Amino acid sequence: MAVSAVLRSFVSGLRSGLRTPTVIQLGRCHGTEVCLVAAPVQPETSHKRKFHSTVRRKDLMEFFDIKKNWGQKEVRSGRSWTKDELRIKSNSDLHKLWFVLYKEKNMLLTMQEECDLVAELFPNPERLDKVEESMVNLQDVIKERDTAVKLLEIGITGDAPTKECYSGLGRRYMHKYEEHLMPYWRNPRHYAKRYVVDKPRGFTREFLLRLWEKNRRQKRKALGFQKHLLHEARKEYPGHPIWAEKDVKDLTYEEVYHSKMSD
Amino acid sequence: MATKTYPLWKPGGPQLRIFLPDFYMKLVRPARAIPPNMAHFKIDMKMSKIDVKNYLTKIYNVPVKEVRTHIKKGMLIRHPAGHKVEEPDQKYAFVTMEKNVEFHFPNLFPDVVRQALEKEEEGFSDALNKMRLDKSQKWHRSGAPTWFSV
Repeated sequence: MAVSAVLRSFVSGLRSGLRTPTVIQLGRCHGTEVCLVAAPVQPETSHKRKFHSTVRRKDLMEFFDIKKNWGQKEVRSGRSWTKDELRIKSNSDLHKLWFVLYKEKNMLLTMQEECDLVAELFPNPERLDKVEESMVNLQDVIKERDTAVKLLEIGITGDAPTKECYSGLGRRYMHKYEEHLMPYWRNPRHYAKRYVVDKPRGFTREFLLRLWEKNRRQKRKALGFQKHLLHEARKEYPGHPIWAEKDVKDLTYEEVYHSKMSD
Repeated sequence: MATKTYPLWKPGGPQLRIFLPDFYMKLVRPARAIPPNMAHFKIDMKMSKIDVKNYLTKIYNVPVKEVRTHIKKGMLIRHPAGHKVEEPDQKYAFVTMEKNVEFHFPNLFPDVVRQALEKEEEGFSDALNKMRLDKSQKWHRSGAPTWFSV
C-alpha cells in the first residue's frame, strides 16, 4: 500500500508538472556546455536568489553566433546532454532546455548556410550533431515519463497499435494503425485496398516462390563458401586436433575459427 | 513533437498545442536588396504562414506584420551515370516586420579577423620555406635532427 501511495504521489507530481503553465525564460547558449537552464521561477516569499547565467536577448540577431566567433576557424564547445542528466530535471526545466537547444540548432543551421554561400568552411560542424543528440535524449526521457504515467493509470503504453498484414506483393509486414475521421466501414474501397490483402496466391504466390528461391540460393552460396574455407584450413593445419574429433561435414567454420590449437 | 501523438483535429475540437516543436528556420542572405524591415528565411516544408508568425513572435519576440511563403522546386542535376537526379524542394518565407524594426544581414566574415588569420598563416609558410631551404642545403644530413652535429 505504501509503495502504491508513493507511486501515486509521484504520478500526480508528474502530471502537475505537465499541466502547470510554464513561464519560458528563453536562454542563450554558446556551445552546448554552457546550456544552463533558466532557474524555475520562485514565489516572492522564497529567500532563494533569482539567478540564471544565460543572457536574454530576444531578437532576430539570435539567429547568428556571438560576434566573437564570426570568421573564426575553430569554435570550442562541450559535450551533449546525457539521458542521466536529463532524468533529474523537472518537466518545466526540460521544456525550457528544449527551446534553448532549438535556438542553438537554428543558429548553427543559419551559420552553416551562410558559410556555404560564401564558400568558407563551417567551423566545428560536430556542434550540430551534439545539439541533435541532446534533443533526441530529451525526447526519449519525456517519452519514458509519458509511458510510466500511462502504464500506471490506464495500463497501456499509449503507442499506436499494430497488426500483421500482407502487402500488395504478398509479403508480411506490421501495419501501424492511424486515426481517421471516416470510419472504415464508410469507406470500403479504401479499406479493401489498404488493409485487407489476402494471403499470397496467383501471381503474388509465384513472385514469393521466386523470392524465396533467391534467398535460399544466397544462403546455400554462403554455406558453400564456408565449406571451401574449411577445406583450406584443413590443408593449412593438418595436425589440428579438431579434425580427429569430428567429421568435416558436421563442423562449421566458426567452430574451427574460434577453437584453440593444443601444443 | 515526435514524443506525443496528437488526436485528429476537426471543426469544433480544441486547439492543438505543440509543446516540443521540431521545425527548423534558417535566416538567409537575400539575393536582391529588400527593405530593412524584411527578412528572408528558409523554412521547414511542414510550416504554414501562421506557424512562421507564431514561431517568430513567441520564440524570438519579433513583431511580425506579414508572412509570404513560396516553394522553390529542386534543381535537376545530371548524374555521372547518365540519369538525372532531382534535389529536394525548399520552402522560403519573406517576413515583414513592424516599420520601426531595422535589420541588416551582418557580414559574418569581417576583414579584421580575416587579416589576423592570414598573418598567422604567413608565419607558418615562412617556417615551412625555411625548413625546405635547410633540407636542400643540408642534404648530407638528411633525416638527422637539428641538434645532432659533430
